[in-house]
Amino acid sequence: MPNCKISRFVFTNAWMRANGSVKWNAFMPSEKNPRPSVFRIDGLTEEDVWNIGVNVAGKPSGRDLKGRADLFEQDVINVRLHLENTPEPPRHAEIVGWSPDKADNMSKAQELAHISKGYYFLK
Amino acid sequence: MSQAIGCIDDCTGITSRGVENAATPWIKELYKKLINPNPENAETFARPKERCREMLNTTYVECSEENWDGYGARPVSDASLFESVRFINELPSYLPAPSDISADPDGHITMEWRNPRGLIFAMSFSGTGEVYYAGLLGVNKPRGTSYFINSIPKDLIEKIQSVGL
Repeated sequence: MPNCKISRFVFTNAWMRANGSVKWNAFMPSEKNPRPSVFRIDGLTEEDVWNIGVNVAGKPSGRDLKGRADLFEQDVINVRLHLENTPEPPRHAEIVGWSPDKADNMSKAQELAHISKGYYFLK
Repeated sequence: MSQAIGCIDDCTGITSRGVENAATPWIKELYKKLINPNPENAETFARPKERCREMLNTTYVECSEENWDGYGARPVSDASLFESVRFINELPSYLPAPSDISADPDGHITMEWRNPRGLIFAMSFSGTGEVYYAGLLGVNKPRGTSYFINSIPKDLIEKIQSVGL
């Protein structure tokens, strides 16, 4: 669903700005993580969303949640990327369609970060 | 066990943890030269450059362990750090200092110039001389690869200026 809202959880202060927005680096794919992970958050309360960040996304990472960036699936499609759902965990999807060229991916990540709305995680 | 946060250079504010742990003395020497190319004239370092070195230090400390992003990121490489420090040293005084410094999950240091109207230009330092760049400069969305070997390439200087800081 293009109008589905998604969240990218952030586990490092290096990707959070002082105003709570999330840096473009948070959307970058890498050799080890070529399909950046997001969660579909439609119909969830704020508390539910943060719970996913802490308990579902955060557990395997072994790191503390710092914040998140919210955007829509259509925003991903607009930069010529798309989402692929994974069987587990529920609501989990990955951003796919990245280029082999790093500069291209930086450009797309910048557009995603620019359109997203960032939030600090307040414990 | 080595300390996660090692000694901080008095002049630059950049941690030398990675260098202290390095076995080869030439790396240590190279690092010293890069962070302070002209020790007799250290007081001439401009304040924006000092701030850059503080941001580099913060990024290096935050991103120096495996999986620092929680998604399997590589630690920031010493080569990328050295290249970034060298870039800051070479930055001409008529150019603005980066607004922000961070890291990519592949272990590259990134620098970003951003103005209040949302124009942005960023570079990613591979540590091999290859510099990847991309920007959102209004209708223009420049992206590509440049090479920082001896001096800052003209095309990168022009793009930094086009952010309008």
